[in-house]
Amino acid sequence: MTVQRNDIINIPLEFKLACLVEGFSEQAVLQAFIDHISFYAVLGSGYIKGYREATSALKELNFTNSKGQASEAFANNREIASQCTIEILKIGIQTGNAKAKKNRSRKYIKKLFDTMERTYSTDKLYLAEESVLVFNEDFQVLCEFFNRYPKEYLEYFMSKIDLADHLARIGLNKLIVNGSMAFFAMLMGGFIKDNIRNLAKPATELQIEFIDELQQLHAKNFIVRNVEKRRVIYHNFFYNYYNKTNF
Amino acid sequence: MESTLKITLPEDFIMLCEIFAFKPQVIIQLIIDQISFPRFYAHSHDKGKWATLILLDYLDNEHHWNKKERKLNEHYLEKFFDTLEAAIENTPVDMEMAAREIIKEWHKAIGKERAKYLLDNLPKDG
Repeated sequence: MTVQRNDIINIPLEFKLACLVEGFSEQAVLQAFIDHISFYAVLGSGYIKGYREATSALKELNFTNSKGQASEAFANNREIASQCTIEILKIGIQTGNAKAKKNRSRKYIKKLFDTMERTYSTDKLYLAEESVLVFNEDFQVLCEFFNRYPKEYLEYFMSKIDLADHLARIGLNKLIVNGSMAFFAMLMGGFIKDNIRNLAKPATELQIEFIDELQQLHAKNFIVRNVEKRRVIYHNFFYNYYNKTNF
Repeated sequence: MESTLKITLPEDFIMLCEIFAFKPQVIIQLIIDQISFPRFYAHSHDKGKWATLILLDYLDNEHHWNKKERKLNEHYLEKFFDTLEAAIENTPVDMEMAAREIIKEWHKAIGKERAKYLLDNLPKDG
């Protein structure tokens, strides 16, 4: 069995490229993802913007690559765990505003959080000395519920971020269901106002030139009618920029 | 080929024409002279790329494709792209020529397609 610990988190190249192109801080994107994980959104009905997209990424991992083991965290408190889950399910099927229902389910999530015996979850994860991710209760409860380390969720989310593929699909009108990328696209659209973009420094000449060329590339790609071919063109363009910015 | 066009000249454009004392047709001619897929894609650093970029942007975002011709157009766009890729080691001039051959072929094919459509829809002689 491979040991999935939290100490080293692998940040894939495509995720780095996507953050670089959008001028996002990698840490801030991960934190935004974590903050939009909702236990209620796993069970309940109704659309809550941002929460559904982020949480669906986590559901995808659990339901397509299920470990199939019962949660160990509630082994000694099965009664409480099932009670809370049932209460949340009950709230889920009630009529009314999804956001309000999410708030009503809060106390049961708190109870699950207080009851669980931790194996997988932590409340923090350091990316670097000065850069820390903070996990909310929902996120931690879901780690224990599905026997997943936080690292697994984060790495799954990042593995689904591919801006080159996304742009190719948008251009050719061939989008596919991808909760992680949908969430990232919402960030691109300005879903969260603060601290996502590295706005501290004014744009460099290289950045301005890059944005200019990217706009031209969108138009130029008109003759490329195949998703994979378009993806490769965007990827190479981003990778070239990535190499230039690292000197 | 010469053609008489009926177009609207916007105020901002007219004022510039008058300030700098040039005829509108001079600028319009200048712009359309630059529009060329073969030249645009074969000479990537050509300074005359802007007009074609405007056309590409229009095709990509505003132009409504004819449903019946979509498949044919996709086919030739793909062929055009593959031709450019295959000619990447050649000189830009050779590349441009190869690319133009595809556009000519495409143009012929679309003409045939339309003629066929017209013929197929002729009223049958009673």
